[in-house]
Amino acid sequence: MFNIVSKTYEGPFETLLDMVKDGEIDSEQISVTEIVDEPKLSNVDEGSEFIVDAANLLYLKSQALLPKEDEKDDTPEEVDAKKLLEIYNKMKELAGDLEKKELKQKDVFYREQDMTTVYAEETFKEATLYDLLVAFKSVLTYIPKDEVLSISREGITVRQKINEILDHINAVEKFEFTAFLKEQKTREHIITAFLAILEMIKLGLIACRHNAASNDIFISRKENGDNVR
Amino acid sequence: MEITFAKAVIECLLFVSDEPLEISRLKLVLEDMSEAEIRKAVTELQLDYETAGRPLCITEVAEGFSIVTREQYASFIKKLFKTRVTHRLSKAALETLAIVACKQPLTKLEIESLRGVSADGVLDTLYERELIRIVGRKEVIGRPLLYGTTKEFLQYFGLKDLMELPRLEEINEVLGNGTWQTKNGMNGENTGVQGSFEQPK
Repeated sequence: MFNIVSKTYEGPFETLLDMVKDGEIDSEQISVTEIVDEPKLSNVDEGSEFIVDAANLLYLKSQALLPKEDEKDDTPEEVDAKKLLEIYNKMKELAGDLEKKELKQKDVFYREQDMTTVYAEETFKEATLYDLLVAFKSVLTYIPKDEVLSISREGITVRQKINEILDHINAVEKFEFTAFLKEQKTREHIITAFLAILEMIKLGLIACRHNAASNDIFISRKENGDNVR
Repeated sequence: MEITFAKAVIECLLFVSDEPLEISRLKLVLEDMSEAEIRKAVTELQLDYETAGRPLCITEVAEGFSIVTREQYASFIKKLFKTRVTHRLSKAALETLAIVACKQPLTKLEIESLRGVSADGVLDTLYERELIRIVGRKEVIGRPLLYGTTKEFLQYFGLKDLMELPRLEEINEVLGNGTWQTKNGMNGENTGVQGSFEQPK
């Protein structure tokens, strides 16, 4: 603890700081130079403590010197920032509303969703890339990683796979995406088949239909796809 | 069709359906009734359940109608189906959903610029739980995905439609002539990165 002795104050530096902070002493009444000139420091600990306290005092004094912020026109950035804050707070309130509703809904039970039920008219829609990706991911997790032993040197190219799929599709007309991937022998084949299917969609050779009810993705040949290549 | 009979049919349809049935879908079955007549029948049915003090009620949710259990029996149902209790959403997920609900369709970047943190993980979770969906791509550089809420979202929170969220309008009012929409809007001038929602430097 470092004691200071000055015209206006005598006692520990920290107490002085606290009093300035709480507004018990007007910071203008304290001369920093007087205090800074004073110290007879005995060791490093005391010295560092003194520097921290002095810096804090300086900070408080400089704050008192700065002009008080007036309520004047906001700059465009401030308007934006305020607006952002306002929207953000509103969002938070809305999130709170949702949470309350969520809690309430936890006690309301619906009929268990039955994925096997298919409506009289099956609803097919164009499969999105995301649908394919999700299906692809599920297949990858389903297939165990290849054992090291089964790694073959002969790779398979996307082009080969495309031809394979074309043959397959000519034979069966349409097939289910996930099932087809699962039939592949290795991971490499699965990935190549996936890339081949993407490429074929891009080339307009095949169409992808997603059945929302059963979550099946069917691949079929496009009508005008025959004359390509 | 006589109204009592129509009500019975509707009750059957609601009973067997595992998702909210819209009036339009009921209409596909009850061909000779108008949508207004069907709505009237559903409302009467609702009232019947109410006055009879049944443990079930017919609720209007996700733009349709569903038969659900009343809250006071929840503890017993939870006892039977221990696995049906799902995890509640995190604060971050709720906030993100609130933003998506208000400003849909919007991109991940627009969500992030508002929340100030990455939305990757949260969006994955919400997508997995089918509370949001991809509604398209924004025609700006990089063609980022646009997100919107789903029917499951409405059902999860027991909402009839998005209009039921009272603060939605307030937020849209603030946003109304907001710089956010125009600067990051669909006009393709901006990738959304330099939106006005960026923190001031």
